[in-house]
Amino acid sequence: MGIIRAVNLIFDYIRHDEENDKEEINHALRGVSLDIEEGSFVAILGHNGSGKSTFAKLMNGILLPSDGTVYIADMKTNDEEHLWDVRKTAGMVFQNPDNQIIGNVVEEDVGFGPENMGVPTEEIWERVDKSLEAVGMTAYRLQSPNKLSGGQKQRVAIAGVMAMKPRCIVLDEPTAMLDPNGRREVIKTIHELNQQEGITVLLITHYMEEVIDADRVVVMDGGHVVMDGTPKEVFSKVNELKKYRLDVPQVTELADELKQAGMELPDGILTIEELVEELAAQLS
Amino acid sequence: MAIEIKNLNHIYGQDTIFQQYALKNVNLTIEDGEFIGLIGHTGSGKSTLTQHLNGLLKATDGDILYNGESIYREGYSMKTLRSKVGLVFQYPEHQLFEVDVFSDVCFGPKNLGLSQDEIETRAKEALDLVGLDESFYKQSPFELSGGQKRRVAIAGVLAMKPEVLILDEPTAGLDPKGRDDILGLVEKLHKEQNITIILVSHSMEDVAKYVSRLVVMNQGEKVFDGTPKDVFRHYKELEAMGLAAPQITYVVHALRARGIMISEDVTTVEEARDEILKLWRK
Amino acid sequence: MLRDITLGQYYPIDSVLHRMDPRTKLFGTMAYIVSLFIADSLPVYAAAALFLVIAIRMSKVPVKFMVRGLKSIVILLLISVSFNLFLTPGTTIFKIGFLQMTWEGVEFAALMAVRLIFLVLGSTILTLTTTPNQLTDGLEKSLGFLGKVGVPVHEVSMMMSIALRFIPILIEETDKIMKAQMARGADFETGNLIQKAKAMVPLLVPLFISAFRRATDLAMAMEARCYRGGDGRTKMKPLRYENRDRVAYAVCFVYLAAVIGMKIIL
Repeated sequence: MGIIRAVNLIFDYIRHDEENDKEEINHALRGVSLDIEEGSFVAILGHNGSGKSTFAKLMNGILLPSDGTVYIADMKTNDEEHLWDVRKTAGMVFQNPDNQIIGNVVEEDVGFGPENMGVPTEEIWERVDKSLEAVGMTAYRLQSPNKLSGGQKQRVAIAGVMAMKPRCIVLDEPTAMLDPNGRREVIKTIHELNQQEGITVLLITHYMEEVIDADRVVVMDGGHVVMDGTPKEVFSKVNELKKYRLDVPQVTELADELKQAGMELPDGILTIEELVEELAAQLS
Repeated sequence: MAIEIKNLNHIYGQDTIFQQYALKNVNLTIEDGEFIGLIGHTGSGKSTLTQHLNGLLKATDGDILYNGESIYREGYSMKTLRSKVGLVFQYPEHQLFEVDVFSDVCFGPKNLGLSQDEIETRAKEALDLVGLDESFYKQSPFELSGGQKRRVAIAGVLAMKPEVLILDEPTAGLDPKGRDDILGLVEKLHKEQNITIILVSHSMEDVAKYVSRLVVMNQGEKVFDGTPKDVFRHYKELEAMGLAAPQITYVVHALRARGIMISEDVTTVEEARDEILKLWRK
Repeated sequence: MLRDITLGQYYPIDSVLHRMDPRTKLFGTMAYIVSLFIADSLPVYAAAALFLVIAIRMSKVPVKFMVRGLKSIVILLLISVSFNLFLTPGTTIFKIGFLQMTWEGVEFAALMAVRLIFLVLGSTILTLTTTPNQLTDGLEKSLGFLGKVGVPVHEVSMMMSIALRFIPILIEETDKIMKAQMARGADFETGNLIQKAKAMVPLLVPLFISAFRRATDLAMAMEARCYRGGDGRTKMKPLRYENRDRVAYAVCFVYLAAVIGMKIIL
């Protein structure tokens, strides 16, 4: 059984009219079940409004499901007594880098989580040192977060979560507000944490190029899981992805078009090297 | 000739040890009706440059001519300039403030001192251009979706009837569908309204298929200026600046390195498909 | 212009003063301010100057950087100096209309200027060597006794620290919104008071909305990191007096006693 288990999750946003007589119900999730293995790197894709962000916020009890259950390391998120253990186990990184940094100095921000958990002072320092090292921000530990680039701020936010020693990290569109450099920085950092520290990663995004190295890709649309598989499996279905208003990397699209025109290419080409290998073999 | 930038410098903290060039000797001529992509990573000076074009920032030295007239000439009306050179900021929805969509779009034309009739006509036209019908007029702008908010904000600038429209990262934070919608809208404005467009972006891939000319900025300087295919030839230099050329460019060059002589001019997926198929059928 | 304000800004280097307990520094600053207020003779000013010079040297903050902070008080300084210069009765040097400059005025204005500069520099040292978080920690602990009478000391200090974190962000945001509205023809400069106030609406509404959105996000991020108020919280940088603090307290007491002594004797 996986570290994260979502069982038949339903979530409705209910909005009341000003007079409170009419209410509008928005079904953000309509029965999502997902089992995520410890140590894996899972990406969730979907356009805005597909329910992916709602799903993320259900993972550590920021939102509680209208129906269904989330188990984090076998603890129910809607069990009041486990709430803090759930949040310790599943750390969360949000979209806007500015709005999740609390400290006025990088290292103090990283220490914020352990402080709240009541970790003894000496251990806080150990955890802060280790977390900053893990995201490569040790050189900036005494700086003000305001002086950092977007990518660096997100790495600080990730370090802040790491210092809580979580078993998994949920990242809710961590790169949406970053430029290409910042995006690369953050994705590289997450992969390193996954490989070196064995942290389970749940990456929510709408950028295709960020998910090609994931172990598993889950596509959401209209509050349902509509595709689930390895990146190769998912990206071999270019037309289906387009139906869900998602992009595919240019090489994947090109390979798909060439196949449709009659060339024989394998399914789900994801990288430039793969495509060039195949084309070179056929054209020379 | 719509805009002419001559030897433009912008220096922060001049004559202090913190002195830093935000723009360094930039020369650029933008003709009427062009569709230009202005590319550079964060801090390259691209946003600083756009804010000079409508007088929000003043150059340390150098000159900017709008339709042949220096905007730094004494008595030049900045207000008129700002209505002619419309600037849509990054995350423009953050500037919305009125109680309903229609009033918000009226803000620009109202500042120009137009008659009530003219203000409303312009607001309607602008909302029509961005594809928001009357059912949106009385809605609060804060209750719309992200993409719709952005359309309202763009309409707010269009209502001033600009001749040049500058959009700073208009697709930031949008999903692929939202991005294609906004870029499609910009393309339509260019084609149907004949507005000169300057699209500021850090993504080559996004703008390559829309623009006819790319201007690349790095460390406050203009480094490349030409058609997308000319600029992408420098993909190695671009990469050194932290800007990646589209994946297709890499495929083309990797194939050429292996002796498969596919044309260097290929920049989009469609062109690459056609070229490769041509070689394959041979 | 806003960049020039060094008051309230932290200068991130390592020095004895940086490492000192914020409570000690708060006490030292208080003692120094008190000494400036009772100062009325040259020896006392000399002592205050010496105290200041030693503190600046110990902080290792470049003097240039500190002096830059004085720019923000130039106007205040000019006003108070000219008031004292012209409105102090005494031996007249010269007279223009009803304004007369007196010897006493010159002396008084000079002392006033020195006092103001010393005051600003002294409190700048506190903020330059103490992170806002340490400062609020120090205040929280020093004022901890108020918690017993129902004052939410932890909450207030947390709010202060968050406010400090977000001030630069909101300043930048103000600038951005202002420019965006100016690009739509807004005019923030001309017009009478009422027109100017009205012109602020397109600036303030988006600013407030943004601030509320940030507050919601931040609250969520804090909860996700297990924040649940001050109870059961440990500190990464707990306040503990070291020998250097004891020495500093002693020095401050001696200084204060000396100043008071001089005031009585001279």
